[in-house]
Amino acid sequence: MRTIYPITKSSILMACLLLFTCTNEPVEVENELVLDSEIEQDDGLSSVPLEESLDFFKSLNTTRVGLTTNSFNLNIDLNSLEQVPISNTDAKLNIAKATTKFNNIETSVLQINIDGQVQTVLFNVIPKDAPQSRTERNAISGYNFTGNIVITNISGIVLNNYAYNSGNLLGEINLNSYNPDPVPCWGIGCGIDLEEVVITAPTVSPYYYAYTNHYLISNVYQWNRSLNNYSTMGTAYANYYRQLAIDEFEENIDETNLKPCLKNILKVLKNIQNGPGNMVAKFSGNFPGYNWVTKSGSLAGQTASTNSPSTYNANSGIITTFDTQAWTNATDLSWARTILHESIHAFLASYYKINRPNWIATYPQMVQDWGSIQNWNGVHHEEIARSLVSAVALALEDYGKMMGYNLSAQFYEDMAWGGLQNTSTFKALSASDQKRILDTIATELTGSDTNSNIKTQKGRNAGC
Amino acid sequence: MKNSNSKLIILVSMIIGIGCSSIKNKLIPTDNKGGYKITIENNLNIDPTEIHFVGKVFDVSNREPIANAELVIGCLKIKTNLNGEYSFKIIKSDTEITYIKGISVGYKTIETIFLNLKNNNFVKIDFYLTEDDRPFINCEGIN
Repeated sequence: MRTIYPITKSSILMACLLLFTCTNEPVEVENELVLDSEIEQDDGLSSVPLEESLDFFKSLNTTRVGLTTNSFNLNIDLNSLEQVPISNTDAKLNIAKATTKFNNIETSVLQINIDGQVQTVLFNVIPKDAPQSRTERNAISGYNFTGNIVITNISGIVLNNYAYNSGNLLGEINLNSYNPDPVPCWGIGCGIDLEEVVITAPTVSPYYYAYTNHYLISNVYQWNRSLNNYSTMGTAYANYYRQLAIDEFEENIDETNLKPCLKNILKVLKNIQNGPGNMVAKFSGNFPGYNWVTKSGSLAGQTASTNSPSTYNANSGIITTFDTQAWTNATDLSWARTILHESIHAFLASYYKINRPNWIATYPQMVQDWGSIQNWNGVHHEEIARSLVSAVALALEDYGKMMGYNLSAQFYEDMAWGGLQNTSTFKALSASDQKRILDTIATELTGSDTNSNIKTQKGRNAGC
Repeated sequence: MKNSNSKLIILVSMIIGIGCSSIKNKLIPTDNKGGYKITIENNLNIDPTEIHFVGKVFDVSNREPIANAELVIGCLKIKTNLNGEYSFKIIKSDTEITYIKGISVGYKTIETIFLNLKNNNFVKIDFYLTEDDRPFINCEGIN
């Protein structure tokens, strides 16, 4: 059990107010501005001390909440209680695993203080066609999750119920907010099988998003205050575990046969905010669900090559080869960009192989492109040029800052076009933009521009 | 005379030798391991002004049907259903020879030979597509 004593913004704010109250010096305008800014950022969220949660959960275990009315048999695993960081706030969420009378449901207890009130909900993951007895808590650890995520109160009364199919949010089951708990009594809280719940048309109100895999609105994973605190706690929970999955993906990237110079770059990429895992997750709206094997080797003039989807299997993963010996003048920025670029190929290739129907449904434009391009390389590059140049640029900028570079956003954006020079999106750029971009890429890769004029590189030699 | 017999024997031996050589100067198949099975016939039960096409698209490696595969004939595009099946008909036209392409994302495209439809109105083609195994390559416009 981890113990974290968070210093919330509210505390800082209070301390600042006290400090200014005691001083004889006039408060400067600049300080007032800082205060105003902090007041605006106060989100009304604060952590519940773990000891407090522990006592509360103990009492729940003892009293068996709802035993007389719903026989929910909630039993919280006190040893699993932990306090986890969530996005967009300093407050932390207390989470503990729990069991109920339903063996095929993975339940967790979530607790946080919202606007001065301790809120406690249960987060129930119910895979479709789950066996009656489950011992592993892995239902949401795959991006193909199909089933329901049901948020209930501690008596098991359903507050929100989201239906998923292959990782996609189908919608929220309409619980009719005009009938407060416990009447009508829905779903597991009443011991009614979920199949018996009538599913109405999916609700797509932004207030009720728990998860979506659309890259444009994937930020709904973030902690955004909404009219529905229960839903928000659920998204915070999902976000936390999503981040764990991303971290795990990055940690498991196989770099056994990668040269040390690239290992060093990959190590930094794993530690930045927008590293390969997060970049792919933002694009796909979910966390990467594949094994990526990186290695050094000889290629025929390319900087890197990723195997086709047809070669992927869960054991061997998807393999990317980097040819560092052919490009000895390349900078770390050049290789960092190439690694990011290939991570997208690896994701899209694996995702296709793992779930072709879902891939086709998710990327209709690539399916359409296949009709004319008819090869993976071109189709992927069109998609990356269309949708991911900015994401690669952002990730590369994160890398650059981590390495102490002070370079313009334009430079990183130009670098992000590496490998995409044959795409229709690139060709639609003005001739001068194309020239500048190609010169930037060439310089970082070789030390010369496209006219073979020696140029000063912005990155440092990768030492490969 | 003896000398000319020897030359003749050498010449015949050379011809036989070349004939038995393992070097075969014939066309090498392309990288596409897919293929198709075709039946073309004249069906009296079909409206003589129409030509009917039916068939199925499979993955050649496991014989599983491929849903949403695309059949292209001229400007016409038809998709297979979830069972990999397709069917469509066209009006007989002055263009009596044509060909069909079987396309599906992730698979190499198969293109039939020219089909002579002058005296036929029923075409059944089953496509067997092979996965595209070409790797992604990162060329940066330098070489």
